[in-house]
Amino acid sequence: MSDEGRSRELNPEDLAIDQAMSQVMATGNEPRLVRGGDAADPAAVREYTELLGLLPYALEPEQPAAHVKQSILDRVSGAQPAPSRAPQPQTQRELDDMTLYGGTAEPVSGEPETIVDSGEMTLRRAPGELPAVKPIQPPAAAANSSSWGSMAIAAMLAVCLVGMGFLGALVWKQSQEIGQLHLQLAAQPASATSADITRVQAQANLLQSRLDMITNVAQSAYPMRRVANTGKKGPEGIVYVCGMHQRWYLNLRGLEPPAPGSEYRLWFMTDEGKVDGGILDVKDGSPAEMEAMSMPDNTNGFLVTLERQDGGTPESLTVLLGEKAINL
Amino acid sequence: MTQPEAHPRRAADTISAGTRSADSVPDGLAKNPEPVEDLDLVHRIALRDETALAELFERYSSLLLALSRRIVNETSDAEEILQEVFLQVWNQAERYDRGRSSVSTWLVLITRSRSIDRLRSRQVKDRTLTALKHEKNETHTSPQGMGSVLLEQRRQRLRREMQELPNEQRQVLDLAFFKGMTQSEIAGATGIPLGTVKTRTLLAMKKLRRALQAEIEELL
Repeated sequence: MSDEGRSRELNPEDLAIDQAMSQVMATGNEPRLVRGGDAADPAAVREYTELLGLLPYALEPEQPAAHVKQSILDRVSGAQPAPSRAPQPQTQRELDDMTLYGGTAEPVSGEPETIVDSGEMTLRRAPGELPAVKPIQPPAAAANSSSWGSMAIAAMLAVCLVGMGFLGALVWKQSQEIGQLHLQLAAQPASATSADITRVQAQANLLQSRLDMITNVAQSAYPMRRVANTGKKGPEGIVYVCGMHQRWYLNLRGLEPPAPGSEYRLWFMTDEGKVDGGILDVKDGSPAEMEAMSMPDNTNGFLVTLERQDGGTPESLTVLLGEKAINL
Repeated sequence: MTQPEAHPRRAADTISAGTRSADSVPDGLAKNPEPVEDLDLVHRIALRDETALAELFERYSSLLLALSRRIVNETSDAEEILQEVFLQVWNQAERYDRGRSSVSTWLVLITRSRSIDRLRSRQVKDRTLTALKHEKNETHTSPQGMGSVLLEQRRQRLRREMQELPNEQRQVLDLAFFKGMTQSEIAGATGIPLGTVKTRTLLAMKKLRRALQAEIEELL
């Protein structure tokens, strides 16, 4: 392998290692996305993944203190939740937000909590589920901050609320779609072919996977805001990022289909500049979605641009920007 | 106090659960029945069986704590991460994908990810690297029982194979896996060209895969 890391040709085994490591851990600043045409041998990728899972066995084992196990069991049983370092909600609104989006206001009973009830399917969350949000500065501390600090916090909260609203709508919509697909499955006529059933089932599984990511797996979300605010209702969206495997999922709505000769393109914003994330397939009336199993290292935001291919100007126009992450 | 066993085995389990011939395993290591047992535990956890979670904790907590402490270099933080990991397991057991990784690897990767997130959030990478040089394993405990004997064999084998790697290959793998450094960061920190870092990583992985083929197959 040459020093020109980005352009080097990987043999199949190298590719399997690269893919396993990119799924498991950061592998440098290669802006390569794992896509269909880029797939390594799944069996080899799996073997290398397991190899990485074996590495900690080389360490001396360490016994946790007894209270660690007890604390876990207390939390899952709901008998005695462990104290959280995050602030407790101060208002009903905060309570509602934190309960829905993974804050500290976890129910103490052992009963699962209903978070979405679309009428066709109900999503429930057990006590303690969802990762805790990063602590928001409590009011007392905020009072000591400068006015600039307060404004920054207010701006961040505004972004969070926009993102949370989008999240709620997305969860609702996807759960409805899943419910409808399950109804379709249940109502398949006798004439339905196995291909039909498989197709609907695959569609339901895909949506369920996305819903799982949104509600449970994603660790951060980037609300996408319009760069040119015309005051009218326009495109908006959100990108969910899973910290463990760098899996991400983008959902945009309100984008008008591009004119002939133009295309929408997603970009990752990194410390080294923007990295091409691919072309968005935008159809009228449908949300634009993209997802993949990796993203460039040090990604700290997202851009959606409208690119012109006819040589006209401007060649690129930034349409949406997502640079403030919400920790879920 | 109960001895946690990161990857325990019982003689009876070895007889009943193995699906491959034990003859193919080097060093007299009996075939690993845990994939079936671990999977059963995860299924029970998905059904909200707290005893299954407790059992999984007994099996893996010492391994995962060692991993987390190696990364964050702080026992209290590592124990906190351990709690987060098992709460995540409790909440996401139904989404465990057997086709993607074994249960033990799943747990290791969750722990590693959370630990590195913690490490990065504290921005203590440099301090950790320095402190690790002076650290002693004060909380090491001697495992007991059949499972621990087999577990110890696995540990010895991993240590031996890691030690047999050339220093420069072991270094890049260690920095990448246990310190969460990207290959670019490794290149920057060590002064080694990025291409060389990549080459060493690939060579180390290939050597370990060949050397640990039996252990890997146990997990598939």
